[in-house]
Amino acid sequence: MRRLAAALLPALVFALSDLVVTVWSGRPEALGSPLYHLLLPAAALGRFAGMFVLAGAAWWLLRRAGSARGWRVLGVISGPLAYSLSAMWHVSGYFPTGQAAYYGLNPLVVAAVGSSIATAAVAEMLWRRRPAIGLLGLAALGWAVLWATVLWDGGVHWFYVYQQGFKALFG
Amino acid sequence: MITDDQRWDHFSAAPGCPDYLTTPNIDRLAMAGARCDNAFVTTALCSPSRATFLTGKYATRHGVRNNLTAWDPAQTTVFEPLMTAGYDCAFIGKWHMPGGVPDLRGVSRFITFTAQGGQGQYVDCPLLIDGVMTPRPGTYITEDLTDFALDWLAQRPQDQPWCLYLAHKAVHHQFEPPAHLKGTMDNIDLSGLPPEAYAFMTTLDRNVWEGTVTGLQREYRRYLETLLGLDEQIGRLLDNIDLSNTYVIFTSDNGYSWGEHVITGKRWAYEENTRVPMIVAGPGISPSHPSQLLLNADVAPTLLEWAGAGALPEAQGRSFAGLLAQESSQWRQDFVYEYFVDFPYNVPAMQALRTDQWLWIEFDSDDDPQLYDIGDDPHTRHDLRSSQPQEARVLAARLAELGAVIRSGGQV
Repeated sequence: MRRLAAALLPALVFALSDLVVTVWSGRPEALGSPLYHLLLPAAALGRFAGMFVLAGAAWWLLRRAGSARGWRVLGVISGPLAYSLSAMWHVSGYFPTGQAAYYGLNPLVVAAVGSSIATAAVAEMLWRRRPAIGLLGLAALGWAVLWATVLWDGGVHWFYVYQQGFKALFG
Repeated sequence: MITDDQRWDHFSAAPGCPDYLTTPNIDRLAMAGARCDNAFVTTALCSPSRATFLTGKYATRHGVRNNLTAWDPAQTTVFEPLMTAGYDCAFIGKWHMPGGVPDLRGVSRFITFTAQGGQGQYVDCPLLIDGVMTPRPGTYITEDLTDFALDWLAQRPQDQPWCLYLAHKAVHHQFEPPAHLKGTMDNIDLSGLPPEAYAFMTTLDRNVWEGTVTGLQREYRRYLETLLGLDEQIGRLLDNIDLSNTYVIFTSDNGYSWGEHVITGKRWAYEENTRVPMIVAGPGISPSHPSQLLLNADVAPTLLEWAGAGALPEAQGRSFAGLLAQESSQWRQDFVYEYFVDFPYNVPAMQALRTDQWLWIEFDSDDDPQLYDIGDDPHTRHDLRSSQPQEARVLAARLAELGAVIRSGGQV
């Protein structure tokens, strides 16, 4: 159970944060302005953390628990996967099924996978208490994916690649 | 002149403009002519709105329903009847309609760009000049397009009437101001942003594809700086235009939300998205603030009436020339807004009815309709659908009626 909880930590943090955003976003009068402006940014950051960062924490916790690689891989992908499934569900009300499925591969998902791999690689090096060329390369690759898909000029370049894919599939 | 993503209240002569924004050149035009405070687009999205400006039709009829549906080259644009009437026409700036850049009939000069899916880029943007792709190293696009416009005005035959369609990239994302204006808005007080806006809301799916992921306030400051740069270039153009014999229409393809309804972007039927600047100056137009509901679909019919040219086939908008000359007071009391799904943007398809007082929105999704009293609630924060059921029924019926007129190609 502890292993499952650790592996799903990114997904749980994402899901809880996403729920807060879904319920309270746009309703400052319901919460009161101070609480609203505390809770909503925190929830938005929680979504971000679950998608992009907490894979490293999951990897560390699972390493400490002596978990097998399969559990650790689950810890790396659970956050991006939770976001992808949530995103598909949110758009399924107005995109046809195929397009909603393609939405589940959007640039944020790719970026989240890249970032999660990178943070897990860093967590592994911290666990070993020494750097390794392969892990450094993996971290660099993961962050390069993050940069190319959402940070380079605000993500506009990969966005157009993604749109070309949409046109090829559905256009 | 068509700007991009400029809100109706973001030039300093506009009512409600934030006091940190000063646009002396747009204001100069507004002081000289009619500042139309109730101007709207029928679809608050780049490609459909641009097609509407050119054809006078709703997206339902011209077919460019979103940023992915192709322009139909068989469509007649405003340039063809203008050319037939003896006008020399130029299209300079943003085309941005899917289906590739067409062989645009009716223009003697066609300068546009295809970079970044047709959005262009602020710096070093290659231009397609009369069909020839031309690198433009060392240029800033707002200034570059203005240079081409001024060159065309200077070099064309002076004894022939003309029409210049100048469509700027500014102030679209990536909100990149000219170098001398970068940072000039860093210290303004943004405490007046909408109360529902919050830090990191730009990372939400409904906003993230707008490219504003680095934060609402940071992006908004760059937007304002880019707008200042645009104002400078508009000043250069106006310095070379004689309003005693030239009509000028200044407007935008759509507005832009900066936090209202927790949105950064456009597409929605809310005022911040649908309402656009509309300044009209020229012979016989006195300084005024007409309050009638004008549409982007009205622009082409108006230009044609001024030119004495033949009407556009199937145009759905109507000329506001007589209205601004104060020769006529009959005008529409409402209009329909339409939005079609535009992948991957998280915005459901919707139709809305806007009257002088009310905004009624229906979504093609599980979302409930919404009703707002624009007079009492201009920022559409209080949905009155439950408390005003009778009004909701009347507006829904009118939306269905007028929507059918539009889909069948009728005039509005």
